[in-house]
Amino acid sequence: MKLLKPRTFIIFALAGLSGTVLLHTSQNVQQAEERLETLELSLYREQEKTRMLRAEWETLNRPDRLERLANEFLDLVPPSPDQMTIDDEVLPDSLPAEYQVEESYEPVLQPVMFEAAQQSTPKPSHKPIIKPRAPSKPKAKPQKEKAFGDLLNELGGD
Amino acid sequence: MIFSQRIRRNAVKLEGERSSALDLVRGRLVLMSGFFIIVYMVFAVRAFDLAVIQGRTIPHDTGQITQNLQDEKSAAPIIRRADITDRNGTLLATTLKTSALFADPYLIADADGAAKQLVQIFPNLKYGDVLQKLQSSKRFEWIERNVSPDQQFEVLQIGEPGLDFKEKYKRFYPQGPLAAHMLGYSNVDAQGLAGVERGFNKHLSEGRDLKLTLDVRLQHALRREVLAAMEEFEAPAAAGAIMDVTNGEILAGVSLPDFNPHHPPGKKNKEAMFNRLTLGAYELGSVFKIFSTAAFFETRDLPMSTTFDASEPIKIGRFTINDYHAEDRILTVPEVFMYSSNIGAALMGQAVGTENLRGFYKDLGLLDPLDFEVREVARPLVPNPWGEASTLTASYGHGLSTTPLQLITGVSSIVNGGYLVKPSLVMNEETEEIEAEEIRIVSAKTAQRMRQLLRLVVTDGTASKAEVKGLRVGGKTGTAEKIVDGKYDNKKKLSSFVGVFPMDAPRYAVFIMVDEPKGQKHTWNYATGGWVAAPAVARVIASMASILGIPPAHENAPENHFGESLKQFVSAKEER
Repeated sequence: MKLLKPRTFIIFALAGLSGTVLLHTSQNVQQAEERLETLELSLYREQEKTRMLRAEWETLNRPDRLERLANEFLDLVPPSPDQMTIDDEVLPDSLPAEYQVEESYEPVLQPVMFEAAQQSTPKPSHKPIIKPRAPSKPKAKPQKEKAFGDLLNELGGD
Repeated sequence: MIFSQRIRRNAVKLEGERSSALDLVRGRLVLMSGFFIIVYMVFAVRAFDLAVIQGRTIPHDTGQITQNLQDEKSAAPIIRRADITDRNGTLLATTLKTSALFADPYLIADADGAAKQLVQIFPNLKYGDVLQKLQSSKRFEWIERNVSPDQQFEVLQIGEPGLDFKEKYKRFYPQGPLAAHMLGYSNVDAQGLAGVERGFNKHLSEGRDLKLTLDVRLQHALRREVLAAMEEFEAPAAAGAIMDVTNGEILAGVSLPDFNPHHPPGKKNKEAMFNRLTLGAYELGSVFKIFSTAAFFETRDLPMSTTFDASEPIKIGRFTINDYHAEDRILTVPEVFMYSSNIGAALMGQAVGTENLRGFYKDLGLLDPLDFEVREVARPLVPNPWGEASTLTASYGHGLSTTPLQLITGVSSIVNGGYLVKPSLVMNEETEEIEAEEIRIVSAKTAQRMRQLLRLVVTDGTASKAEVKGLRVGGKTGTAEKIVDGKYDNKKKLSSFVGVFPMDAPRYAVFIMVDEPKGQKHTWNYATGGWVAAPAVARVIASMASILGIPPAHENAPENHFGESLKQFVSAKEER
């Protein structure tokens, strides 16, 4: 009996080949799985981070905080009804000349070259039309504000 | 190979049976050696795989971290408690994962190195402190209470076995106490214990987000003004609500004093925990005249010019009904309403009749506990048995206690054109279509008359301080005496105002109630609804207009003269 007939040889070769392909595929799958896992985990971490940031954002945007900051840094007051008009007859027909825009004006995106260190900054030529009233008593209550981190600490580790 | 060749060489010399036996043996040997060769090859390939291929793709450290993160991910509660937002999507409650870093000094391998790296990760820590903690003899030391996911990753990369994390999911309320009574709070086991957190505990535990009808901006404006009124009049408590009269959605709800939902004081401060809006039942006084007057128009279709004799106090049983703003004369319906005459209201109630008035109050939902999403609701205190005296007192809001929320709901149902609304706190975006079945509670004619009367109270009556220019506010004041030890105490009042605007086409109702306000110098010692609550409501309405962008009517616009036709029924003031 001849040990290695050509047919046997071919079979062995095919088996070896398929084994190699199998190994290769399994390696690919394994690597893909690992990548998937890493991605899933980083996704999970990012989601956690987003949550945390959203909570912080909302904490910083609390209406009472915004109101306090606005009272402190901005001279804004809520418009009173007599500052508003819904009657367009009262409005002038056209804008004052300096605010008028050419008819055919089309915004074009183009590079702007800045000149080096211009000393005088151009000032707006007009004063605001509506002079704000004195801010309504800002209820001076210097309450200490808690930072977001402190708030979280308040939630506690234990 | 040499071995098998030798066998083969020997085999040449053999023949016959022996030869075939040797062939068999040789075949077996080849098979066996082949098998071993394959096995060794598999080993070699696997070794190559482990050492080279996988060794290249996974760095050693990450393997451990991956495992760590994997554990914590699977150890997390199956479903995280869902978020609650306001109608604009502003976050009201969320669940955050907080990680706290601790050390087991016994397991620390390199205290010095670990301390150095920890200080780099947490700039606020001091090297000396950390080192001391890492070298202590205890088995447990907190290092940092609040660790971000990034920092946690870096700490894990130190690879120190003695450093570990405790992780917990915590309920976080970014708005703090702003809507504490409506939202409620939950305990450490993520179980809602009050407010929406309790009412929708199951829903939230299943991880489904909830959108409320509240508007954080309006909530803030309301709370600010209620608090200001409470402080201005040295009151111990106050409450307020804003409702969309067209559908009963609660845009804001405040009960003061309130609490920090992160640390509800529980039994230590019952006053702060008490939700006055839904759980407090009060005799709300003259604001009830809205209901008795509506009932009057509804049952007896009489003209506005109908008069009532308010010159004499009414005596019934042991009660004597007197007027607070006494006019001592015969009053028309608009006069009864704008001067808030108790005698007039009682006579109206009498004209309506006991059964009718009671039935009307019941239809408005004033006599039964509120069907509401927050489960903390009070049962109204209804006179039992309801005799004629009860009818008279109930006409001006005494002898009958309801919650402020029921009041504002009832008022909404009348001014919106007469359709019954149910208060709601949770947005239902899907069922908007289904709400086609509308229950009419008063006729359109009555609703229109009530709108005019309410406007009159602000333009010419007890609530002139509630006027906001151009926004056509209407409303009704209420000043009730509180019952102390079973008797009405005229020192302790409950001052309230329910305002509605714009009166020609009502959209919003605002209610503010101040408990036991004390008269101030600048109010000439008055602490009535007109002095305490009406100006506060006006300020809320002014804020609402700018927040919601409601334009004021032009001075000469027809809607600015809404309700002026009633003035023909008001006789010129003599002295007041």
